[in-house]
Amino acid sequence: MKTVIGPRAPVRFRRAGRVVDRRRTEQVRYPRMIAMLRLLNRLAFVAALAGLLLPDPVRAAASAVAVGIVVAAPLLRVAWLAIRWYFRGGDRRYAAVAAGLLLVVGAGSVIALVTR
Amino acid sequence: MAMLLLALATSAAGAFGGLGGAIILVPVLVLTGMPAAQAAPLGLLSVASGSLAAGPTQLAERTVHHRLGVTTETAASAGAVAGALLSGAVGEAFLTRFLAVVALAAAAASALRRDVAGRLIERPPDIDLGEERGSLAGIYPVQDGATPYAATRLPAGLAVMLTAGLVAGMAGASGGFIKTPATTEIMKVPVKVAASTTTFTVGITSAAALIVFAIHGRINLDHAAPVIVGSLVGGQIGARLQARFAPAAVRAALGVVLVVVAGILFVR
Repeated sequence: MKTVIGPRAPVRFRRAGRVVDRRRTEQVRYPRMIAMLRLLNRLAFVAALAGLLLPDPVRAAASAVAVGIVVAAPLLRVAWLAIRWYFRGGDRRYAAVAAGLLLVVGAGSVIALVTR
Repeated sequence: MAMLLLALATSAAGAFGGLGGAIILVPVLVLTGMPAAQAAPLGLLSVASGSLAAGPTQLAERTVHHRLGVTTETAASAGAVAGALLSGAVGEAFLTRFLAVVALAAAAASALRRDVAGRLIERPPDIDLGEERGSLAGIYPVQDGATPYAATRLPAGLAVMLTAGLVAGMAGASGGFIKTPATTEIMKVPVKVAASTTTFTVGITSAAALIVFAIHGRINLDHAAPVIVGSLVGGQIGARLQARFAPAAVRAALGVVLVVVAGILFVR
């Protein structure tokens, strides 16, 4: 595997008509997010398995928990990104986009409540 | 048990073929007599489960562009909410035919799919890999090298994502067969990043529509548990098979199955 050693050169290159600045790439591996997703994955599996195998009323409750985890996981991920970009990444523009996305989902929920 | 096996088989085949399981699961459920309006939420549960299962691996590979995903998802989620609300207002016959059209579109997307990679460059230091702060550009690792990219034509991409979200909300399919080609062909993002980012975003699209379905009382909890278990396990099996074998033959077979299923849905 070839790696560049020493000063980062060239630091800029052109791709698809735009300059990509390698000095601005995020030095982040998302270890906490990976751990959180693995945990939610296991929780959803266990809850769904309980919803499959256990008798009522545990069965219905476990199924509801499994559905809740599967629905909440991607939204938690977006919220996590918004907070990280705003407070740690200094990327307020995309933090606002992520907050806007959560607002769209929230507005959809309100409309669903009104039209129920 | 039948629902579990069906979800497992469709998720494994869908993940192996790169189409996702819901595009097969929902039409098959409708063919077995389930109303399309009830099958759609189960399809989206399958999509959300698959997205959750794939998340950790794709994050570790650093092929997901979160800023691109979050940006395009604002349009897709709005479409998904609109689709979920509309699906409760239109008739069963319309939904079934809409599902048939979506299955045909997925088959066409599968047949036309190109596994195009981006330009390869000398691999930069490990810390330089990933997405660029404050933009829709980045670099992702490819064995001995790396591929730089920068998304283009965002407004056109957003318009297509809105359509993909609408399809997901109405039909219960992931819309990934629209999102990935749009990201590669319109926004000029390499297919590996486009596919990983799509897997991330279809989870959000599904969540947005599933909240609407849950509030409207359209999620059948008896069927939800086997679908989630089957999709989590099937998605893992499909991803491992994809890493070992070339998925082109499976993709072609899935395309044929989708055309047949769409034909049956049309003439029902």
